[in-house]
Amino acid sequence: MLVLLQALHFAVPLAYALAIGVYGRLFFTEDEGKYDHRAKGAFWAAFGLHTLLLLGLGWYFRRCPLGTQGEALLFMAWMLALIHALSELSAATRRLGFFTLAPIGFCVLGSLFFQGKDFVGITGRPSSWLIFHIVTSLVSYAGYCLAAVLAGLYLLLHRRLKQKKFDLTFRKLPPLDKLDKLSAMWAALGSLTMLASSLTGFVYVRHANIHGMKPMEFAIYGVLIVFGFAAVSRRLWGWRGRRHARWVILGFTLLLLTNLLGTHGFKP
Amino acid sequence: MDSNPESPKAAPENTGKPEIFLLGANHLTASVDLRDRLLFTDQGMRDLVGTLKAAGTVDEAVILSTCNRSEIYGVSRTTSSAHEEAIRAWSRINGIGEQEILSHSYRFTGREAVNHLFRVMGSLDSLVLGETQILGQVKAAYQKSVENGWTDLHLNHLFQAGIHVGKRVHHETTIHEGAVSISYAAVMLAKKVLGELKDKTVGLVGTGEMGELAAQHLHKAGVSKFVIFNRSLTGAERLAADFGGEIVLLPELEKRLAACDIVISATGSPEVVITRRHVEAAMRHRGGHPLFLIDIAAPRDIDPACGEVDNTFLFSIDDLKAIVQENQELRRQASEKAQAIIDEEAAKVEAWHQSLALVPTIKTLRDRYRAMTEREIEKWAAGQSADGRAALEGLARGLMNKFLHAPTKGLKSLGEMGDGGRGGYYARLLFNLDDESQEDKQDDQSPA
Repeated sequence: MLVLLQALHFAVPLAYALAIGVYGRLFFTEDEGKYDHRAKGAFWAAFGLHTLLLLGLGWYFRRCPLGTQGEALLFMAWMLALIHALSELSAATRRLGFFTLAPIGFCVLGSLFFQGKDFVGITGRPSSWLIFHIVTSLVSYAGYCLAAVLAGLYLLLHRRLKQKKFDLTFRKLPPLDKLDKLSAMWAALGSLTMLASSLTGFVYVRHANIHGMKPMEFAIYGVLIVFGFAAVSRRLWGWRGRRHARWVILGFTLLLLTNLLGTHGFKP
Repeated sequence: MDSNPESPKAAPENTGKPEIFLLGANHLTASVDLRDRLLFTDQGMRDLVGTLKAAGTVDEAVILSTCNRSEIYGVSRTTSSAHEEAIRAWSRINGIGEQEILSHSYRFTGREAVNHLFRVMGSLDSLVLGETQILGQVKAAYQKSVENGWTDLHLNHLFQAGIHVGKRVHHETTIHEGAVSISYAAVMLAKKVLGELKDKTVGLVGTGEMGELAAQHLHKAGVSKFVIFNRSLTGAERLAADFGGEIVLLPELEKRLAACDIVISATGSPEVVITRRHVEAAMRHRGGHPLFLIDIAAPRDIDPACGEVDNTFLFSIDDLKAIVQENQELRRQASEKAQAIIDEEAAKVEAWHQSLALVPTIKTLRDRYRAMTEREIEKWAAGQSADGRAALEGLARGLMNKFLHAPTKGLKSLGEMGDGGRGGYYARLLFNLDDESQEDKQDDQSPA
């Protein structure tokens, strides 16, 4: 069974690589009709294998598949894929698959290299607070990631329009308004789940009598403040479009740096 | 083949076989005035087909008559006579000289006629390459002919294949994509910035023709709120009535600009009408929502510095022209792929047409063997139970179908390859199909 799961684990990045390739053709060719259904099929096949792998891991280890950093990356990639699927179904953004699937490919590939690295001791301490904390934080990472990708595409199209360059990027990207709204929506989801994650994390450390905070925890609050400011300024002062996109990218960059620079500092 | 007036117009010699022919005039061969006079009325179509059928030169016909083309598709065994007869009838019915029709029309037969129809249905022969209306117009013309009983085997097959070609070109190429008119390009650009336009407000500055055209496209795209800014009520009233808009005098523009999502300016003013100050003031009241400005006036109505204001997008007529040119080039590139589809489908129609030459031979072959099988069944089934008879029938008919499958398929292939004449000759020789008495001679075995 374990061999089968490992084989599936190798198959998932390959399947996403194939899907990213087809989405790439879809974006960069004028002959879209040929690749539209293929891209859809390739994505759902990869997503199906991915789901099967997570279910298989959960069934085999008799726990939530969040025991290692590799599993956490797999789960976050799954959340990203789910958001991508919802975006496609709700806003006809299949042309963006090349960009939105890229972080998924990166995560599932990364998961292969961190299979044995313990995540936050979930295997030894299966508190439901902790599990909820991890799940919501991974959902927030996925939401922020998608929001940042869409914000980047917004800035790209905005630049094309201002420069009066009516090239392939101009033709293929969805309207600015749609990119702006989708980015704001996923950023809001990220912020809400990050808030929930922070609260449940706080409750968990109180219950488990864990103490000690590293700069990472403080930096996470910094991320929340940046995204919170982006949402509030959008609502109150009409900081839409380019300004909002820049704040989203700043917030996501801070989130990446936070995770690259350190890990949780809680100690029992 | 194309409908270029320089293309060869002479039809080939008569073949005696049913062949598709075409006589027509379009935007490349005839002026607007002549095209108007060449248009067929419903009665004119009935007269024409009636005349051609009565003359015995045409078996089937479909008449296509639109503002850009009038074309007669038919099936005849004597195509050059059919062409002449059609010109005479067209001349008489529409009151135009035969020589005038002759010198401004094109005549094709066989593969060239098929290719032309497919180019028409794929919108490669249209005035605006890739326009989407023509397929519907040809379908309607074909439907009318079917309802009147003017079509049969050949034209039914041809037009069904043409509809398939039109759909393939539409789905497999991008020939219909991208705006190719200035006013429509403005709408597409607005959609690229603002997304859905239904709930947007359009400000029309001036009552110029280009602005009106753009407003028509926006109206079609679902925009229902129009504000017409003008120096006077004259001219603006008509536009306001057409689009259900509100008229605002130009001095009020600064105050009302913030309420507009799209502004199209096309005045004849020698000075700038919308300044950066106007736009900055408007943007302060728009809650960060983008403002889309189109300046299609010469000289410019909108200060170019307006485009530097955050969330403001300004485009001039030159920008729109650049988009149109880009899209035209893309359509031209897509037309090469569309032509490949047309060639592929025209070859299929030609193969099918050639295979028809062997249909009588195949029918005779199968009829002969079917009759033989039935006689054998009657002979050998005498005295058998119902089950026994059913088994015998199944065996005999099954064997007959299996034995005839390969020769039938082979004959069809020969026909499709254009070798139907020789194939038919050898088939008749090998299976002795020309000898009527053979049927009885072969029944020389009796049940034991």
